Amino acid sequence: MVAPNSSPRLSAYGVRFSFSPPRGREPFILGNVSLELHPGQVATLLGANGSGKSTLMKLLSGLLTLEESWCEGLVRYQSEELYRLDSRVRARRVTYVGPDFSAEFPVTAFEAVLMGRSLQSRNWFRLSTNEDRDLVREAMEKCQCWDLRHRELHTLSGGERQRVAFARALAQGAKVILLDEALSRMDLHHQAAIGQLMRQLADQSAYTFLLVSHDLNVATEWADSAFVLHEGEIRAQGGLGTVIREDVLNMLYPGADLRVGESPTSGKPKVFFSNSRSV
Amino acid sequence: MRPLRLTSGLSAFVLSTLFWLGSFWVALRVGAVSDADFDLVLQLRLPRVILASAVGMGLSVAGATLQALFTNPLCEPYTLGISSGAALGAVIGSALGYDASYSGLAVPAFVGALLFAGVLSVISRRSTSSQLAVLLAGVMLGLLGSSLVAVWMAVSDAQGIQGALIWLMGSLSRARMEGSILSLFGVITLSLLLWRKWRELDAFLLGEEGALALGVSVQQVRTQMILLTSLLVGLCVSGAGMIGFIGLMIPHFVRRFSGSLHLTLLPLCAIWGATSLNLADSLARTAIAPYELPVGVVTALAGAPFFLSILLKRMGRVEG
Amino acid sequence: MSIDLSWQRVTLLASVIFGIWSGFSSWGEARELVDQSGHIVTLVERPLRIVTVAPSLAEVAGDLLVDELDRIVGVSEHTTFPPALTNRPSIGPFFKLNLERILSLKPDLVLATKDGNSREEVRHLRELKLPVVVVSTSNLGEVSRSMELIGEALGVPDRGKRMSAQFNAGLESLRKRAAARKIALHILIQIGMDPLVVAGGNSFVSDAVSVLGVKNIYQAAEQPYPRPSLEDAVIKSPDVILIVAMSSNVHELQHSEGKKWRSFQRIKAVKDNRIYVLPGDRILRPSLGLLEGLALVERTLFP
Repeated sequence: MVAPNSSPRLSAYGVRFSFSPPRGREPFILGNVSLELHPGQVATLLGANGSGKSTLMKLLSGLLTLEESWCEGLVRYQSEELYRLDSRVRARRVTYVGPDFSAEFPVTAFEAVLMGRSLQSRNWFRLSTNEDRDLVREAMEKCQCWDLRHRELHTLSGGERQRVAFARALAQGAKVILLDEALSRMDLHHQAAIGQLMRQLADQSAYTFLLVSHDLNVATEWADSAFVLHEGEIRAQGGLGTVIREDVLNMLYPGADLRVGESPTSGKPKVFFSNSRSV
Repeated sequence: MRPLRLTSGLSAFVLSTLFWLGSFWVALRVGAVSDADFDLVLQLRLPRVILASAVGMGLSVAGATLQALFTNPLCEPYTLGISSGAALGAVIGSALGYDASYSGLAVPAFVGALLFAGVLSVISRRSTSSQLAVLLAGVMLGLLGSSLVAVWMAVSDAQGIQGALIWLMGSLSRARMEGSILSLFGVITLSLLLWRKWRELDAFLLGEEGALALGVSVQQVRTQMILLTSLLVGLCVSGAGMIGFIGLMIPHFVRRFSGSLHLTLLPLCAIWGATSLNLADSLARTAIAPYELPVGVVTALAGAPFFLSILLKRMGRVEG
Repeated sequence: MSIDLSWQRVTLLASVIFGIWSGFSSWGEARELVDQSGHIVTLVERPLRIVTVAPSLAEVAGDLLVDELDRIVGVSEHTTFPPALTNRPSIGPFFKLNLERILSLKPDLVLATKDGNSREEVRHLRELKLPVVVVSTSNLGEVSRSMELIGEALGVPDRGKRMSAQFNAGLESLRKRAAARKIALHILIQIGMDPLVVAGGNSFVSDAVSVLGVKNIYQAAEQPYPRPSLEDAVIKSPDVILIVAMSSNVHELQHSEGKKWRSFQRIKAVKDNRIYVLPGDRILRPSLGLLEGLALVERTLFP
């Protein structure tokens, strides 16, 4: 749970972004986005397709920056400006896990996860230290992919690769992890395991997670708070109960006619199709 | 698959170096003329073997680096059009009557390559340039260079251009001791500078996004690497003309046995590139003696089937 | 009378003796000549291990050496004249010399030509400390000079001068016959097929053929082998088209090129069916053989 009154770990203020200079009436992808993420928070980012969720995630993790002249705003990690940090240092603080984790060339799962650590080192000849290898093992075991370590990435299934991707993020040491559709191909038992791992890391080690998932119910199961991105701005934010509401959802997904209920096991809000047009 | 990789690094190196020395021996001995003239060997074959090692090394390291940088297994040293820059330089140099005694057209060719490298670096540095954009820019630059050469050919004295183009066709027979040693020195220096960044190159294996997530400053590293590889390719092309397929094949071959991590990949590519070019050149020199096959033909004949097999394998891959 | 051995006299005597001695010792050893590329080449008096790197050079050298042909130890590929040299060790084709073979033959003279051999390779030979004499045969005057030069290089300067004189005399008689004919024939000398490449006034071909009194329609071109458009050739409408074939498939070329030109009936040569294909490598050798070759062309053009 979010520690009360803790200062934000990762925050964005007044972010305005577009890939190319906006022409005429073309709006920015992100017009005016502000949000704050705290230690121990597991949040989910909701929005329709194309609303700029991935773009926002990348801006928050440093994969994209606001340096172009037509962009505005600020992204901070604690009190430092994120984009001013050396990229290696930044990687130790925040990292992004995308939907596709793959390599065009033969790379084993172990090697891929190890990269999270080896990039932090500067020694020319040492591939990895024992400490590195132990951390990699620990991360892969937590993500239930240690048995895949000698397999080459391109031979793994989508779900298997996503577990390896998560392990990479953990091994890297970043405590803020942004997951962009990173659970979507996992089997349910793996999803459950990773979800529980997230909760555990957030609760016990003050990790911060921001999830994007097209399956809202997956997101709501593990998250404790949500942000709604609509038309380039954050329209709603807060605890799940305040955000997951029928009016918000119908704004995001017009015509879907959704209902919000409660999970019988966890009490978390769940989204249902009303299916009123059935035969 | 795994056990053969990281741990066997040392034995892989020893074995590879043995092969390399073997190729030296073959190159110096094969096609011995009536008496084993030590003079002959020293004056003609030794510079040739040194140049073959340098160029083979340079092309393989450049190829491996570009394949990682652009996350594309089909990349090779000439993808970014640097060779067209060298061609343009050679053609213009020859037209201007430039013909220094030891280097032939090597200097103007290198200058041409350098100019193209500069343009590419500028393009790569722009933050709005994605990986694909830089790659396409390189391809376009290559086409531009070739077209300019063609235009020059159409309007100028065909004889001089002929000379320049023959010069550009891959051949190691021009090797002179001083030039070869200089090339070797240059190639080793540039390769070391590339090797230093092996961690970043590894990160690129996971894609541009993956590299960014790992904390690599992609723009900066990419620009540096492009500049270094362009210099490397420029050096190789100015020294021996265009020799294809080495830069494409060797990295793939080495990856099959030693994995993709660049700490071991780059040095092994260097060694195997030197070895294979030595062997190819020996074959070129002796196969239809006294005629000499262009060494690029030998590498292409060996390389084309290999290239096709990569393509077919990729097309047949099942998505996970 | 005692000999005055003051040191000045000793020195003077020593210099005189030394001068005479060195004069004698270089008699059979080294001499210098300037070749047609402007280089000063140091040679022995009588080279005994000669390598020729173009077929025409073997022909000229062979003709000059007469019965001393075994002084030629290496020839280039496709050397067919004189027949005795066909089996000599080959040093590769003239356009890509096998330097190893040349070196291994330990020549004391290498004959090369500016027209055909790669400048780069000739330079490499010089760097390997081989004595290379380069001739130039881009026009008739140079061919004549090259015969003298080769004679000098081989150590038979008189024979060289005689060959050159014979060559010039032969050309002169051809010129006289041409003057007597008083026919002004405009000809196009075609070298290349697709695209059209012709021999301009600056080329050896044109220079040689002009001895017969014909006028090359591209005499004024700057480049030796310009590439005019077909329209230009049509406008100039030559009386004869002479196709110089570089390989031996004369009949095929006659057929195929004849067909290509047939659609341009506006050209006089096409209308009068005066398109001839001649084997260039036989006709256009920069040697005495050129005289026979030109005589053949003469018979073809003026039956």
